[in-house]
Amino acid sequence: MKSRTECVVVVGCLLTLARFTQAATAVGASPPTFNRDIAPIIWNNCAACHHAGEVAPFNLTSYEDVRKRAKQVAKITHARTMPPWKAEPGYGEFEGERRLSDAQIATIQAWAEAGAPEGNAADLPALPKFSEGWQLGQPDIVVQMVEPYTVRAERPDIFRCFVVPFNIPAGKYVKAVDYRPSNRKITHHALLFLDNTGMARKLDEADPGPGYSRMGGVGFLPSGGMGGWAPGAAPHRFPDHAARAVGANTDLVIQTHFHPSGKVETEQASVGIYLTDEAPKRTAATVPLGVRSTIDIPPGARDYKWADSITLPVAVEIPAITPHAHYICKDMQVWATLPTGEKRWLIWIKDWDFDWQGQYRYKAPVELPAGTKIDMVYTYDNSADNPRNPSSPPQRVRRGEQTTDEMGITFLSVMPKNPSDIKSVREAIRDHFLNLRGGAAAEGSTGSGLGALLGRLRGSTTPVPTTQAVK
Amino acid sequence: MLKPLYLRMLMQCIRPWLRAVLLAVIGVACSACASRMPVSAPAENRRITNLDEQPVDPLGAADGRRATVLLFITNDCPISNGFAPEIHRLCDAYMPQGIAFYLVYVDPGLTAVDARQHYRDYGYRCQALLDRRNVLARRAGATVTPEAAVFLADGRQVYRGRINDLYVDYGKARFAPTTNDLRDMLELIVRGEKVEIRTTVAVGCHIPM
Ligand code: HEC
Repeated sequence: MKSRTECVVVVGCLLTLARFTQAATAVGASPPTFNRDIAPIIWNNCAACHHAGEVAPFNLTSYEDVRKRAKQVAKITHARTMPPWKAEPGYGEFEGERRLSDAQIATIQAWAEAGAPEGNAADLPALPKFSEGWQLGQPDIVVQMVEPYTVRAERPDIFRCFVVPFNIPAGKYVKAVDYRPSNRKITHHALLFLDNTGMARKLDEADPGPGYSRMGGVGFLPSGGMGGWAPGAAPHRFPDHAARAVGANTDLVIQTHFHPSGKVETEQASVGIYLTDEAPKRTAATVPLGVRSTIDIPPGARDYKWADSITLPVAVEIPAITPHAHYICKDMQVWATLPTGEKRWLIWIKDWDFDWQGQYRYKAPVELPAGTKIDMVYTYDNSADNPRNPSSPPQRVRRGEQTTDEMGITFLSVMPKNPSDIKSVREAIRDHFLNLRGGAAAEGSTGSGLGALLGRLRGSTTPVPTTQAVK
Repeated sequence: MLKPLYLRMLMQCIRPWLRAVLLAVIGVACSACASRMPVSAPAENRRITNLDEQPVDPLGAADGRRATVLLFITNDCPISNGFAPEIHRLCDAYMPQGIAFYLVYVDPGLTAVDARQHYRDYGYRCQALLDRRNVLARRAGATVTPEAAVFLADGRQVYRGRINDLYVDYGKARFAPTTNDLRDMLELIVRGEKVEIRTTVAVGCHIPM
C-alpha cells in the first residue's frame, strides 16, 4: 500500500518536472504567466468583444476563461484570425486598429506551450471598464428601431436595413452618434445612413417583416452617412466644424449585420444623437469607386481582377475608407498616385472576409493634392477551392445584389481642403459615375457609361460594358 | 506521455533520500492545490449522468437500437452552438429510425443548472449527458466540439469526426457545407449497408483534457 502511494507521488513529481522542463525549453528560464504577461494582452485586445453580453460567444475576462481555451487562443492569434482586423499594417494608419504584435503572439504561444501557468496574483492588472450606457452622456435625441426584428438561428449572416423616422430641429446639426444594440450577442456591426428620397421606406414596405434585406448596400444612394458601430468601437464623432446637416423629411436607415448564434434571437437597437448649434463650415462627399461595375467572372477563375480609378480635381483630405465586396473577393488594394508620381497606400486587405466588413477611419486624414489619381484593384477567386464561394460548383458571377452576385466598391469620404471646392468634388463624382472623364474607368469604352446607367435605370438586364475588367 | 518502462527505469534511479524529498515537496504542493480544488469525490465526477444528474450508460443500452451517436458539445463554443439547427435536423431524421443521439457536455466546469439552461435555450430534443471527466470523449477519441462519434449496437465505433465540412478553419466557414459526413454514415446504417470505419477532422473548440 505504502509503496503504491509512493509510486503515485513519484509519478506526479516526474510529470511536474517534465512540464517544467518543457516550459523552460520553450521560453528560457521563466515561462510567461497569465497574470503578468497574458492578461494585459487579452484585456486590451480581446475583452472588449469577449465579455458578458457582447458579440463574441464567450468571455475572456478571467484566468479560467483563457486557460481552458489556451490552445485555441494560441492557434487563432497565431493565424491572426483574432482579434479580427483585415487591413494589412503599413498600408494606411487606422484608428482603433486591432492587431497583436509579433512579440505578443509569441508570448501567448509560449504561455500555452508551458501549460498555461497562472502566476502571481499580485501581477494581475484590473479589467478595463466596459461602458454599457451611452458613452458620451445622455444624447439630445434617442430613436429606436420601430419594432423588434427576429434573427433566425442559422448561418449565413444576415444583412438587414431598418428605417427609423427622426426629426432634427431646424438650426441644429449632428456632431456625434452612438449606437446601442439591444442584443449584442448577434450584432456584428451596424452602419447608419440618411435617406431624403423616401426610397428606403418603399423598400421597407415591399419586404415583409421589419426592415428590408440587402447584401451590402442599402438599396438607394444615401444623402449622407451617420457613422457606424462595431463592438468595442467609440461613438462616431464628426470632425470639427463639419457637423452633419440633416434636412427635413429625412429618415435614418440602419444597416445591421447579424451573426446568427444557433438559436432564434431578437434585436431592437437604439441610436443616440448629439446635437450642436454650430453650422458646418466644411462638408464631406462620398466617392463611390467601382459602382458602375461590369463584373463578369467565369466559373473557376481564381484571379479575376476588377479595377476603377478617379482623378481628384482639387486638394482633399480623406478621413475614412469603406471597401465593399461580397463573398468571393479575396484581395483589395486601393492607393493614390500623387502628381509627383509618389504612391500612397489607402488600404490593402489580403484576405477579405464579408463577415468582417466595415469602415476604416484614418488616424489622421490622408491629405492628397489636386490631380491625385486614386486606383482600386480587387481580386476574386471563383474556383471550387475557395471555401467562401457560395456556389458549389462555381457559377458565372456578375454584378448584383444577391449573395451569389459580386460587387467591388470603395467608398471614400473626401473633404476638400478648401470648403468651396465641394462643388467640384461633386461634379467629379457625377462625371465619374456617368463616365465622362478620364481614369481607368473610361479606358476602352469611353462614352458608353451613360448608356449603362440609363440601361440600369430602365431595368435592363444586359449591362453595357463601361468599365474595363482586367483579367 | 511517459512510457511505463521509461518510468520504471527512472524510479529505479531515484534514491530513497531523494524520494523522501520529492514526497515532501509534493505533499506541500498538493495541500496548496487541495485548497483551490473543488471538493468532490472523484468517483462522482467520473460518473456520466443526464442533466438531472442521474447516471446513464449511453453505450450499454440493449434496446434494439441500430447505433448510438455521441455529439460532443460545450455551452459556449460558437462553432458548436452554430450547429444546433443541424443537430435538430439530424435527431429528427434519425431518431425515429433506431439511432440514439446523446449530446455530451464536456466542460468540466459546467454545472447541471447551466447545462439545462443551455439545452433549453437552444431547443435541443435529444438526450443530453454531463461527462465532466471526458470519459466518453477519450473513449471516442474526440478532441473538439462539436465532434461526432458513432457506435454500432455491438459497441464497435465506426465514425469519429465532423458533422459536415461547414467550417474550414477558425473564423472561416463555407457558405454551405459540401459534405455531410455524419449523415452519410447514418444513412448507410439505417439502410443496413456495410459500413467501413471512417474518421474525419473536425474544426471546433478544443476539449480541455
Ligand atoms: C471585434 C470583436 C472581437 C475582438 C476584439 C476579439 N474577438 Fe474573438 N470572436 C469575436 C466573434 C464575433 C467571434 C465569433 C466568430 C464566429 O462565430 O464565427 C469570436 C470568436 C473567437 C474564438 C472562437 C473561434 C471561432 O472561430 O469561433 C476565439 C478562440 C477567440 N474569438 C479569441 C479571441 C482572442 C484571443 C482575441 C484577442 C486577441 C479576440 N478573440 C478578440 C469577436 C472578437
